[in-house]
Amino acid sequence: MNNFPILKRQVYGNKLIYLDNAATTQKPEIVLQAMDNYYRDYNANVHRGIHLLAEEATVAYEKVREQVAKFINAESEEIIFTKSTTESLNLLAYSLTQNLKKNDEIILTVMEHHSNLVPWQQLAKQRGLVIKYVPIKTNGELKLDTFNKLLTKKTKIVSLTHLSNVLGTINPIKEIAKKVHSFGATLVVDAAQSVPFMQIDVKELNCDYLAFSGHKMYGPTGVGVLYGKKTLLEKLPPFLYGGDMIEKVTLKETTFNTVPYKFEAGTPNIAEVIGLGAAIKFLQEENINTIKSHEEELTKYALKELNKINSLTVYGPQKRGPLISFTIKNVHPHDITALLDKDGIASRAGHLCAMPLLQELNVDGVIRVSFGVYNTKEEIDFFIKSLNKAIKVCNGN
Amino acid sequence: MEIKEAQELLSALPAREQLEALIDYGKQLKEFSETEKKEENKVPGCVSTAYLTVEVKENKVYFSGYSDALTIKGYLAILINGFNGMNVKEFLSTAESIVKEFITKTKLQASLTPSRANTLGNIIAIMIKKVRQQV
Repeated sequence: MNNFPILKRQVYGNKLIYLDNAATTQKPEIVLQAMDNYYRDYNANVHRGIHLLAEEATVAYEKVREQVAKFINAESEEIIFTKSTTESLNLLAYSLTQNLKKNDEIILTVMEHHSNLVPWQQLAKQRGLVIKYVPIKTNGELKLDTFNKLLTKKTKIVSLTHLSNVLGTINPIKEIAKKVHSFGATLVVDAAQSVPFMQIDVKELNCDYLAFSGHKMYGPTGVGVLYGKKTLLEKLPPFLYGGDMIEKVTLKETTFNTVPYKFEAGTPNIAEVIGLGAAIKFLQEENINTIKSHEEELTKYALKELNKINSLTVYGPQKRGPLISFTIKNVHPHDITALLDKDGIASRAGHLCAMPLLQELNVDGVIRVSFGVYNTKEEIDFFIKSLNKAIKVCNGN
Repeated sequence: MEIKEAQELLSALPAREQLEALIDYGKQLKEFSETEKKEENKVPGCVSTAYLTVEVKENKVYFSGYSDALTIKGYLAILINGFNGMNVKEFLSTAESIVKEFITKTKLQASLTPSRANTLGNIIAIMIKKVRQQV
């Protein structure tokens, strides 16, 4: 793909093969240009200045809010810009638990990224709440029958990933939403991995909140999104205090701005938001359904090829998102990724910010390859060849 | 084998061969006692599990080590082979600068991930700390 400048670079004399898209994606020219244009042509603070540059910056910033809203079928007041999925989830953990009572329950799953586990765990400790975890089946899918049993009148919040960053499992959010709402609980979805891969329609999913990051969807780092149903956001207390999120301030008290602004304290990451708008334009031009089919095909092909290696164990279900985690018998994941790197292949190894899940899988670390819009079957062939070579280096005497 | 020898050998190699040579060093690391694989011997800050012990005998240092990753084993092998049998005073006064020069000359830091770049620094810091505790 020609519109990603970084893909032209060489790594140790080899063509870069970037298979670490679940960690972060590369950026197309359109994103780089949008951010560059902002700084060169209309850099100014938003929502404040009475001058042309400030007006242009505000219009561009707010246009992205509309773009994001349309992209996930929400209303623009329901879109809050944060710095990352992690910040979005921290905001929710802090604000949603403020009015809960001791022993109220939160349900998470064992497949959560630390960003959707640690904030709830810490807030639960502070506020005397109980966390319950939905276990997984051996194929990496959630045990929904156990989930149904865990869900009671005491459950106030259910927070889970849409697409596991380790297993690739795609969780049935729509089905889960029905059950969660039948108990009057709130449903939070971590969509960091699913937004760049599949069409997200928050109305169809019927989740109450949904969080994702710009950098995993071909946009810049430093920008995240929190979607929330407007009626819920209006009742939710703010997380950060400061400029822009206020309506009126006196020395004695403060009243807050309307949604979504009451959640956007301080000068936001304007250039990054504008970059995110360009990333959405890129995804729309490429067509998210075409991207999904392409990545599914690559994943299926890579799974088939990986399964030919005897000493290799793949984790997660057959039907999955565009990532594959695996281990190789008696070989440390870091040795493999270091060797792959020398052939120009960027992959990931370690606990993938999901230590509890790896404990569940009974492994210390895994190797993960994850695919993006620019990857090809030829790259997977090269990766498999390089992987076999690396295994030989590690196992040979 | 002296550390300088490994340093010269590794410095002359391109990145891929250098990593493979490091792995080869790792495969040569002597066996580590299972009973010594305990919390107090763990090398903290290491991305893989690594253990290190030291014994001071007749004023000389003797290290043993283990890691589940071959690249870390490689580092351990180079340091252990290089320092074992060295006089305590000499070890304490020169070890840090020897390792610093090794990192600079071999550029091994550049060929490993950032989390690993500190590994060699971690290992030598632990080695020095453990020797100091025994003298």
